[in-house]
Amino acid sequence: MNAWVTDLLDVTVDADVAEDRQARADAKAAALGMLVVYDDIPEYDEETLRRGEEAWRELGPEVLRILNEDRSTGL
Amino acid sequence: MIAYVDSSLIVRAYLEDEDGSIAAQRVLADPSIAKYTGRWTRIEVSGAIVRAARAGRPVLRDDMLTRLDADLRPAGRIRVLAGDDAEIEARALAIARDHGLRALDALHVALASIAIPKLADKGEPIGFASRDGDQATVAESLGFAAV
Repeated sequence: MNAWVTDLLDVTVDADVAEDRQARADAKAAALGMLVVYDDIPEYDEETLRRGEEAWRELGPEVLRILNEDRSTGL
Repeated sequence: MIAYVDSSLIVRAYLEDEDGSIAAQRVLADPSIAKYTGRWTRIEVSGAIVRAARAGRPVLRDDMLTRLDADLRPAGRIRVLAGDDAEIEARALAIARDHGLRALDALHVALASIAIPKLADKGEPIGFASRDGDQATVAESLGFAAV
């Protein structure tokens, strides 16, 4: 079990965090061994995320069109 | 509510003016909904991003992939679930044969139907967020509320 999952299980005993729906479900998923944690994704800064959002605004409609095309052709 | 979020909704949440984009953004921002998707989402959306950016847009490609990845990190907006591959495959096969869903759609519904009920509290509603009509209909037939 990696450090993030251990931390997550620890914090969910906190009463405040226990009220958070996502955190409680995540703890359950981690305990069941169902939660995927990608080791290859770093923590990105705000500027990087902002550039990503701009890129999605520019090219996102084409991504959606491709996904819809895949669905319509049964891929 | 615990909800499975399909790629068709995730992609719309990144857009501004497409049909359903505002509703998709609201789903991802709703703290009362615990949101999960499957590993296939990262692969499915990444493939579409790369194809969309083939016409000389490598910078946009990388920035879009980064934004997607950021949302699938543990601190991101959507958590990623995995289950027993054999069990998921068997369920997806049954769904595909019963309803004629494409392979990826059937895998999403199969994982959701196996994993999401295990995460829900007693009596808590389970949801399936998709903008694909056929997939959403099948999910509803399996007890998921449309999100």
